[in-house]
Formats: sequence, C-alpha cells, structure tokens
Amino acid sequence: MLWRFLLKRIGAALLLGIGVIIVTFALTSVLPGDPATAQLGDRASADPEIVAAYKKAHGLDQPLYVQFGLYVVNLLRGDLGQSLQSHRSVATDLAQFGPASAELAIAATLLAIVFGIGCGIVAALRANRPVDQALRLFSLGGVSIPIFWLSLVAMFLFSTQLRIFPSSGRLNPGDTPPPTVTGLYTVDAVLAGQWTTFGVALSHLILPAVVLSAPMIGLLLRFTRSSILEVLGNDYVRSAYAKGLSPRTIIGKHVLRAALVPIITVLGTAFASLLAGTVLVEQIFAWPGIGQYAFRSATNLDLPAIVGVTLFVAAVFIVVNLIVDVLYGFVDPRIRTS
Amino acid sequence: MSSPIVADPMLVPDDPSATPRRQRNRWSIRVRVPRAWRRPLAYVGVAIIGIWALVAIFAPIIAPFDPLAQSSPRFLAPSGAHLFGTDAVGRDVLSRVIYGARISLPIAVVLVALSLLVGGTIGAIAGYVGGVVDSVLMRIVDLFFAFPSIILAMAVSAALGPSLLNAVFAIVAVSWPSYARVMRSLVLTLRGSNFLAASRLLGISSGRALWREIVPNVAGPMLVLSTLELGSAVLLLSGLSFLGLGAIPPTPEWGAMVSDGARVFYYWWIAVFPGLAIFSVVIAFNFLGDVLRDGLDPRSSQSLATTDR
Amino acid sequence: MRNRARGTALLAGAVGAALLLSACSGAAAPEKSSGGTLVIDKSFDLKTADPARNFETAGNILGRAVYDTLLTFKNGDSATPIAMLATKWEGNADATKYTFTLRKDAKFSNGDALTADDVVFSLNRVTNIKGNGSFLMDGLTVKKVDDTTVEIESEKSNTAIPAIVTSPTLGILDSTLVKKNGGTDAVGADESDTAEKFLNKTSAGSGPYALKTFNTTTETVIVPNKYYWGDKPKYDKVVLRNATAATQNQDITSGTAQVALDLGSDQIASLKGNSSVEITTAPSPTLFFLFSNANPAVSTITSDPKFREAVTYGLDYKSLLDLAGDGAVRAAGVIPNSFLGALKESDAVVRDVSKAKAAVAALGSAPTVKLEYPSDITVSGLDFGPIAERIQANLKEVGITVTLVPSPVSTALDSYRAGTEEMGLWLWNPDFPDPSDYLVFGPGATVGLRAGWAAGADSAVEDLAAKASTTVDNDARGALYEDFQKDLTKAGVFNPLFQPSASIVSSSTVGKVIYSPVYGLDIPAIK
Repeated sequence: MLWRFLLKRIGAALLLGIGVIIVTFALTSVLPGDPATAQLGDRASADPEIVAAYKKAHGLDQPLYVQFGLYVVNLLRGDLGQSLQSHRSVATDLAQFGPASAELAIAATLLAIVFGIGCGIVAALRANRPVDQALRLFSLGGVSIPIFWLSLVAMFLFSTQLRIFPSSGRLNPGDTPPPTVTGLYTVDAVLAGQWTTFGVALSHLILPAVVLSAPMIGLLLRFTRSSILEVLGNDYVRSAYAKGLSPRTIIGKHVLRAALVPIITVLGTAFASLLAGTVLVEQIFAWPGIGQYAFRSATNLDLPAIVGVTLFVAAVFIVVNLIVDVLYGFVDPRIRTS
Repeated sequence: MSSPIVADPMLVPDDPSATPRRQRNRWSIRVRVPRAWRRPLAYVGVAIIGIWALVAIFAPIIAPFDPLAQSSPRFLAPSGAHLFGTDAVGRDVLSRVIYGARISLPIAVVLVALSLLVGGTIGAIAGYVGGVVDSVLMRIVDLFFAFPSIILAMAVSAALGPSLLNAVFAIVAVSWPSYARVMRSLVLTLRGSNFLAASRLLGISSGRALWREIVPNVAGPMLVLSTLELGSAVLLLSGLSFLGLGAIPPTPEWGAMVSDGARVFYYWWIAVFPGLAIFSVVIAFNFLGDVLRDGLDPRSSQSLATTDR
Repeated sequence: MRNRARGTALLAGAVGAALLLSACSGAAAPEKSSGGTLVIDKSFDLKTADPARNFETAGNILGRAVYDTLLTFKNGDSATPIAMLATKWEGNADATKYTFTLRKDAKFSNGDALTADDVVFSLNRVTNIKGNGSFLMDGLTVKKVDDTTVEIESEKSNTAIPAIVTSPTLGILDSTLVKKNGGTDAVGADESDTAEKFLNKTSAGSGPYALKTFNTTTETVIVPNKYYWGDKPKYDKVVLRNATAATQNQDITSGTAQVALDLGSDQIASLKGNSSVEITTAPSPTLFFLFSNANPAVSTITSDPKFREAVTYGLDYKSLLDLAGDGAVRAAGVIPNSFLGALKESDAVVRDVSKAKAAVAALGSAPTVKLEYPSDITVSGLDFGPIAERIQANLKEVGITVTLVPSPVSTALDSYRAGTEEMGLWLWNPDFPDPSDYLVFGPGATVGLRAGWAAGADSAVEDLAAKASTTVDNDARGALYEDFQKDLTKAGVFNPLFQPSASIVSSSTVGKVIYSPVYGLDIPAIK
C-alpha cells in the first residue's frame, strides 16, 4: 500500500519534470531578442562571418525541434549545455552557485523553524494576551514587508552605520574558500577546522539569512499558532488533562506531534516563496548564488542558462514537495488511500 | 504540488478556538463577542487603505510638486519644502510617493481581478466537471506551482521589455494557480452538498445551479483570498520593478523608486519612504483579509483551508 | 516555564551569542592593503582570460597586468605610444609597413623566453580566432624577420598601427605553452582552438602578474610573475572584484576595497570631504550620443532633415552635461577631446529653442517618436535612464513628444545593430586611440548603418572620410577629421552629447590612482 503510494507520487513528479522541460524550452524559444548578437561585441556582430561562426558553434542555426531534441539527449547524459555568458557548462555554473544559495536557504529555513515555530508555540500558549498580540503583529509584518526594502534597511543599519556585519559576498575579498566538501562555506570551514574562515563566512551569512527568513518566520509563526490552538481544542487533549498529565508532557508529546504534521506541509509552501526572495536578497547582498545567476541569465537572454536554472529549481521544488508528500503520507494514513 | 491539506497558510483561521463551539481549555479565552469588534487592527487596516485610496484619487491636489518635474536641486534631505527630500534628478520624493499610489493600488486590483478570473474559471470547471478534465487541469496547475515563477516573470519582462503591462501579464501568468486550487476545492465541497442536489431534483439546470447556488457560496471565501492576494500582488509588482523589469522611468512606481534609492542609499530618504508606502499598503490588505476571513462562516473557512485530494 | 526549559533556553542563548561573537570578530577588522593584497572593485563585463577573445573593459584591465604588448602608453596618456616588448619601431613612408625590434630579456611566467615566434603566433591567432577583437587585425599581416624582429604590413595606409598594437587583445602569449594546450594560430582557429579553457586557469603572459584564479562573476585574482623583466610588482596579490556601484561605495568607505572604478558622480560628490579616500577625475574617451534614424523606411519623421535640425538645436546640452556630473566634458564632435583631430568646445552646437521650434513647425504635424536605450547598464557610473528622461523633457519644450523605450541591453542591442531604432541613445568606446576609429559614424559605416544612414546618402561626407583615412601627415589629417565632424554636425543624424568623467576612487593608503583612457586601470602603475 505504501509502495503504491510512493510510486504514484514519484511517477507524478517525473511527469511534472518532463512537463517543465517542455514548457521551459517552448517559452525560451518565443522570447524575442537574438542571443547571438547579445553576446558578441559591437564590431563583431557587424561582421556576418563572425555571427555565423558563433551561431554554428552554439547550435543556434538549427531549427527549434532539433535544438530541443539535442537538448533532451544531452540532458539525459547530464550535459545542460554551455552558458553563453560564462563560457562554461551550465552544470558547472549550477555547481558553483547552487551551494551558495543552499547555504542561504538552509540558514534562513533553520532560523524560520527556530523562531517561527518557537514563537508560534509561545503565541499559542499565551493566546490573546499581549505577548500573543505582539507576536501576531510581528508575523503579519514579516509577511507584508517588501524583502528588497528590508535588505536595504538592514544593510544600511548594520553594515554602513554600525559596521557590525559586512555588506557583500560570502567571504572577504581575496580570501581562499575552505576545501570543498559540501560547498557551504560555514560547514566546510568547520569540517576543515578553519575557525577564522568559519567566523568570516558566518558574518557574511547572517544578514542575508535573517532578511530572507523574515517572511517565513511570519508564516510559520502564524501557522504554528493556529495549528496548536486547533489541536489544543481537541477532545483527546482535554481528556489528557482530565487524566492529570502535566501540561509540559501534553504539549511536548501530543500537541506538538500533532501540530507538527501540518507545519511540515506549510514548510513546503514557504519554500516556494524562498526563491523569489532569494533573487532579490542575492542581488542586494552580492551573494553569488542561483538567484543572481537566474537574474543575469534572464536579462542577458542566456538561453541555456535560463533553461538550466529553471530545471534545477523546478527539480528542487518537486523533490521537496515529494518529500513533504511522502512524510505526510507516512504520518497520516488517510492520505495514502486517496 | 499536491500539498495535501493546506492551499494557503494565510487562509487558516487565526484562532480556530473562537469559532462557535464548546468552551476551550485554559489556554484560550472564549468570549461571546463578535470577532470583528475585538480586532482593532481591522479598523487600522481599513483606515490605511482608505487613506491611500483617497491619496490616489486626490493626488493632483495633494501633491506639492509635479512628480516628473526635475526642477529642484538633487539629493536634498527631507526638509520643510521637500518633506521626503529630492531624488537623483531633482524630483520631489513626497509627490512621487503620492502619485505612486495611483499605480500600485489600481494595478494590484487589476492583477487580482485577472488572476481571479482566469484561475477561478479554471478551478470551477475542474471542480464542477470532474473526471479527466479535472485531472488534466490540476496537472497543469501543479506544473505552474513547480515552475519557478519568478524566473519566468523575469525572462518574459526581460525579453518583451520592461513595462507595467508586461509585468501584469507575467504576474497573472504565475498567480492564477492559487485561485484555481482554492476554487476547485470550494466547488468540490459544494458539489457534494445537499442543497445543490436538492436544486437539481427540483429540475433547475446545471448552468443555473452553478450561478444561483455555487457563486454566492464561493464569493465569500474568494473575496477573502483576493484581499489577501492583493498584498502579494503589490509585493510582486514592486519586486519586479525593483529589478528593473516593471515600471519604466519616469513612472513613479514605489518598487522602482526603492531601486533608484538603493544606489545611493546613504541618501536614505529616496528608498525608505517608497518602501514604507509598500509596507503600509500590504500590511493593511493583510489586516483586512484577516478580518474578512475571520468573519466567514466557519464551515466555508474550513474548506477554504483544506484541499481534498 | 520550568527549570529545564529555562536551562535549555539559556544554553541556546549562549550558543547563539558565541556564534555571533565569532562572526563579528571575523567581520570587524576591514581588510587593509598591507603591501600584500590590493582589492579593486569593478562592475564586471568579464568574459574570458584569453586575450585574443577579449574585448571588454574588465578583460583589458586584467590583460594589461598579465600580458605584455609590443607597445604601450605611459599611464594616463593616449597620444604617444612608448616601448614595451618592442624597444624600437619604425614605419615606412606611406605607413604600409612597420618594423618592431623586440627586447631580449622578456620572459613568460613559466620561465620561457619571449621570441618573435610568440609575437607572430599571438597576432595570427587573433586574426583567425574570429573573436570580438579580431577586427583590430583587419588588413594586417605579421611576419617574423628574425628572432628579435617582426614586421606588420598593411594593405592600405594605416597610421594607427602603433596605437593598435597597444591593445590588450594583442597581448603576446607563450606559443609553446598555448599550442601544447590546444591553441592554434592557423586559419580555422575559430573552430580548432581550444586553449581558452587552459588560459582561464593559467595565464601564458610575460607581464608583471600571472593569473591565480579566474571567475567571471565573483572575483579574479592575480599574483606576481617571478620572471618579470621589468620593475618588481608591488603587491603579493591583486583581487579584481565584481561589485555594483552601490556595493563599491560601501567597500571603499569601509576599507574592504582600495580602488573603486565605477562610482557615479552623485556618489563621488558625497565622498568629497572624506579624508580616507582620494578621488581622481578625468574625462573618459567614451562618447554618449543620440541619433535620429535617417532611414525613411524606419521612420518618416526622423528621416526628415527638419526633425534632425529641431533635435540638434532643441537639446539642452548644458543640462545634459550637468547630469553627467563633475569632470564630464561637452562633446563638440564625435572624436574625444584627448585624440588627434578633436573639435574645440567653441565649435559645439549651442541650443537655440526658437530655431528648433521653427523646424518643428516646418514638419507639419506634432512629431511623436520613440527613444530606445539600454536600461540595465551603468557606464562611468551613469545610467541611461536619467539621461533619456532629460532628453525627453528637453525635446518636449520644443514640441517633440518622445516616448521612452528602455530595454535590457541584450534586447536593445538587437534593434540598435539592426538599424531599426527610431531614435537611440548609445555610446561609443574607442577601439584604439586613433581618430580613424571614428569614421564608423559616416554613412555606410558601422554606426552610421545603425542609424539608418546608408552608403551614398551624403557623398561629401564619405569623400572626406576616405581622404582622411589615407592621409599620413598628422597635421593634415587632423584638419580633415575636424572637417569630417563639422559635416556630421550639419547632417544632424548624430548628436554627440558628452564624454562622461572617469573617476577612480582610491583609499588614501594607496594614494591617487591615475585613470588610463586606454586600459581603464593600469594595475602595475599603482604604487
């Protein structure tokens, strides 16, 4: 039963992946603007020979379905094409920028979980009292604040005026990154025992991660609070009280576990808002990640890169949601049978 | 994707214990007072939006300067003559913020209306017709959810050229799925309800049943969703403009103004005031949406929050 | 809450505080150049570390430090080439052959000695690789005479050859090393040469620095070449860092970077009183210009000479110059003021609103036109947006309605190069420091075609252009170029606006850094 459920979900995910590939390719093909002339210099693009040579080298002179077919074949081999901008393979680009965004996303998510869920619990336990009112206001603020504006304000306050945190990049200029294990500088620095590097990497990470986590904290706080309140009202909780169990046990064991399930679900949804925030935050904090890469590729009409990034991000979404679905299916048997 | 339970976390009632049920435990206060009255924030939200609406309508009268006139010295700090200072080409920031309301508010409404139209129709069809049509349409919705919409929006805007029209098009293209999902779940719930069956038994055609029974019942929840989505619409629009892919100069759009101010952010007033404007509008829409949602019939608000799969 | 919960909270707080402290200590002390590391902030258009394929500003800065050329310019100069790899050079009477004598002590960063073979290989490679900068070698052939002498021949008279060879694109590479790693200079190199990957990791030059790490998006690092033939380079490490103007401002004031190249005039104005920075301002040779399409198929309005007259006299050049900031100069003609043949400011067009209005009246109906420009690039700290907006405001005063059409540069470039823009706001950077480069503004020439000015549209101008390009005597050709520009002004297809200022902001630890109109930044010259 469980396996059928899993297979169904994985099958749906794969179908989705194929759909994304087709749609992305179709969309990029209708975008106006000739990427060839965008990449060549002023003089070079005036020379038809050079333009033709360039198009031939990048396969831009083939009809669209041929390009698509070639793309799928290469994709199956793990080749995502070459970025017109960086002259490297898109896969290499993604391998370079992916971990940077991952570090940011993971840090932001951790912050969101700790503060969002933590404060949500406090808000639920102190429902309708001043603490709760303040927290709900705070959560509403987090969801409503324009993230690009928050980044600028944070940067102005903490970097420019107070000089506590640096304002750009992952490390100080010219610093050597720690030996690559995960690609996350903080983790790699700890693994290599380079504590100064760890400090530097962390100092660069804090500001963008905090800013990025703001909407998620708001969302999680609100949702945790209402989930817990919902559960608190349930009969079995009342009977637990009647049985004389201490409130800590009740909250710790029953309430939290029951409330955790919808919280997992909302994390999946919150993840979606993460990418949009990442594009803006990375741009402002000069964080060399997928968001910046996506923005550069989109504005420079670097088609292989656009398609590559879209696929990569879609794949991450699909996998995350798949995990959420499966986790949920594990915990709530009712879902499996639907 | 197939998020089994929650369509939109913002739709979950803030305080489920306050729905008319039995007395709760000591962690929540249950008082028999209409919820709206206990939320002064509701009034704040309505007031803010009301003020902005008035500002937008009466902009030519209120604004001290022409928002496009490059007439004053550049980079003046906030002072008597220029309450919000001047920007990089000598325009009064206060006037531009005021006129910005004429762009952000109406366009947000347009965005939500269009997304509602497209998404709502698709969701209603999927929910009502069911079967293969439903599966296909929901697969498409799933596709859109998996798609990194911001990249699509950027690419579309980048290729077609920045303009408010293209930004609207790009945003609607990525926003309609939320409405489709919610509408579908609402219609599904209603479809199985008794009063609809009763209407059919009485001989009313499905078209009229759709109109007379379903629409009034979905109007409430969809209104709540729309109000909440207004905030996101403003954020999306200003975000795209911030990246340079939405409003074109010299249009005084708030997101574009923040972007201008980012370059010279020690002249902080150029970015701070438009940002505050965005913040105030979005939070007001969220306040309002909260109140509307809490005022809903609990049964429909419950189905608003759950999606049957 | 209970004791244990409180204890947990305290522990979490302590851990958090410890993390925060370590983070702050990492951030607190800004990086100072201890004679060890120099950090330069630039907004990157970096594509490649292979000089033959490079024709971008950031690449030029890098190339200047890593690869030597036959000749160079003294830092800050753009009029007189001086010796570099070639200690002596001579041109024949009609400028069709130049002979260069090479120095004997030049060594590449791997110890190999530099010979004439390397020069021939490098220059031929540029021709055959068909890259962005290959046009520099158009019509030129290079020949080895002996191990220390090379000859460059040109089909037509080309007095610009000494200026052309100073370009970093014509940097000399170690032919043995490059050939070993997939490089070739034979015909067909555009397909068969695969050395770029290698060159993006290891440089093969004889300049004072060598490549350590290369990245087109974050930062590129160079370190000293221990076999360098000239003065020992000062810094142990030079970091060329990609940063937006906003970030650059932040970096230079906090000491994270010691040189910032792209600060805008507004940002610089705010740094005026700051004692920790030095500001150098000089006019850059970049030309900002406006054009009205002369092709009636593209626009019946802009191709009307009366319209062009209206624009020429309707623009408020002074207010546009204001926008360009301190240190910018009015462009009287298309040739920049530091080059031979430049017009004087007194030759510039003066605004005449009544004349412009009269020209508009002669058009018949009120003209409405579209002005296209790139919305997302910043040049010398200037965005095109404010300039376009001011042009729109200026022309409104004389009765012309301008609709702005900003596009991201890649999309805008398309229509610009296809010649379909009704009006365009663009710029031109000199390909090499010689007035002959500016013949591209003539009818039927590169930029002329983009403005819809086809060959045969104005034979007087075309004849003048032909004459100027074959005249060898500097004084004579200087005068011819001045006449050429005066004719261009009369035709009115192009309206040269201004040359923005190029400012370099450096921290006081490094001192004043001179702007190089040829290379952008002369890294080895920073003391």
